[in-house]
Amino acid sequence: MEQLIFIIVSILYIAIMLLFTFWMHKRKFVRNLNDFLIAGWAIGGALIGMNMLAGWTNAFTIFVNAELSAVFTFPNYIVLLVIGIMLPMILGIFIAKPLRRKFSRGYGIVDFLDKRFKSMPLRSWGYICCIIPAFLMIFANLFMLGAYGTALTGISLEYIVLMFAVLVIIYCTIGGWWHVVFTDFIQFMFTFVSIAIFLIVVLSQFGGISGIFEGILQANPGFFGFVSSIPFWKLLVVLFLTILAGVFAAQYIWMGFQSARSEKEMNFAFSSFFLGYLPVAALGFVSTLIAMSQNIDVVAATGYIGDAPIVILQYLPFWLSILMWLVVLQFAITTLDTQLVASSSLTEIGVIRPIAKSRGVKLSPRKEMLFSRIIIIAIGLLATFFALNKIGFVEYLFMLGFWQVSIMSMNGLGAYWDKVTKWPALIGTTVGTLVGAYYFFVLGDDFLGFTLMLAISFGLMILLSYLPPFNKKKFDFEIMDEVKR
Amino acid sequence: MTLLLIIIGLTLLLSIIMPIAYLWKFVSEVKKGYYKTEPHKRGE
Repeated sequence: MEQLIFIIVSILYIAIMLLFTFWMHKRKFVRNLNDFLIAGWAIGGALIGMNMLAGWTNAFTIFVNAELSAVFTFPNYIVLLVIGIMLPMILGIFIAKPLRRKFSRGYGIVDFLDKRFKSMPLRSWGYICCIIPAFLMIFANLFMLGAYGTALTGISLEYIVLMFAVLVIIYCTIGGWWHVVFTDFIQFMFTFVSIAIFLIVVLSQFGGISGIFEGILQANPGFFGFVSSIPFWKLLVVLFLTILAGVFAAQYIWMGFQSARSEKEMNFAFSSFFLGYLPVAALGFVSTLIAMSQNIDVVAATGYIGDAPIVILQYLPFWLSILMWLVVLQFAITTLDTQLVASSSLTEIGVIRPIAKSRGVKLSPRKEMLFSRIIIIAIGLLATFFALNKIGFVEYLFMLGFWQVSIMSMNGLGAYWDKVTKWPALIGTTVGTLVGAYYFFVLGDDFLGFTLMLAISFGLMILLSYLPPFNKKKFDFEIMDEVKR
Repeated sequence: MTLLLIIIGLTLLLSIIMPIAYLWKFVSEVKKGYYKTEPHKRGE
């Protein structure tokens, strides 16, 4: 009976999404390639803020937060959350502002690198460093959706992965970025309401905040004291850098703020985006706090310390399980669609268009749109294949930050500083990435890998830009802006 | 206890205020004509 309800809810969800897609298609939001890839640079702050948050928070977010809050003491976790995660999210404005002013009609990172440095190796490396994390996020989210879906609903992993992969591929192929921002907005409104309902019900069910506090004090008296240790500070630095790199070097974040219709709208998006993370994280850490106060052994139940949001559901009314399934589903789906269209625009602008140009072929917008759609279907199907075959993703996922940190200095300096040109950027990025890769992949030290990679690439780029023969030519930002031209 | 109260209180407040604020902003954007289907009619 319970499984039947889950099946009905899932089918209803898919039906509503398809109906919405049909309605959007009838209203003809997508008329040309720019509408498809970047929503015609015409979106307002509410849609961008919600889309950035929706793309940012994925099927892992609540469980990672549940894990961090279980591993560390509460004040330590709050430091990680506020300084390690939320602060770098707002720092993204520092890369968004100059780009908005100098490069208001762009298609994201690879397009920026291409116009800024005019270098094939840099553009290609930028493409690789963006497409790998995007693809990892797509198939890992599909797999996680299947795994948690099975744990929650009892429906088999294969069915869940296939059903929702097909749904996302269909609406991304039809509507591109317009559909993604609209559906993400609607889905995340429901997510926020669900989070509020979940927190209120759960807190009242387990004796309120004071009840939880006293329960934890009895079980673990040291939980509310700050503990300073070297691994903690190292993790804080790694987390901060990974998240900062995530904002500075993720295609979907760039597409988000570049598709804003004005700087004012972009500012609204950035100022609300980091605040929205707190309720999402709360779903994880409040569940862990409750499990602790009730002496529920999460590791014994599922084997993973971050599974508290799932484990506490058996002590709660059944309808909360449905709510949790919808929340996990929305987290996964909103990330999947955002990353799918982002990968499509990356490939179209970063690979197909330059190849056609180098061969002297002028692609018509209609053909480019067809290619973008084929890319969405191809990447979507490949990710589904990976997810269904459960190709080990956890090891790869930890490497997600490596790629983004690698191009962070190029993006950051390139957006602000006219002195840095092609060769300093190329040498700085190559040396920094090689040293970082040695520490990261060979020695397995992510702290030294990230910090050395950033220090060397930033340092070399700045140093070389002051030295002859690289200090002669300055970059003219005016030539990037198609509007001013 | 104070930290717990502040964090959970803030979270609850945000989870209620955020959707209202977003909806408010979205409705004002629709009223300004940002999302008219014909691109040339979209308001500034």
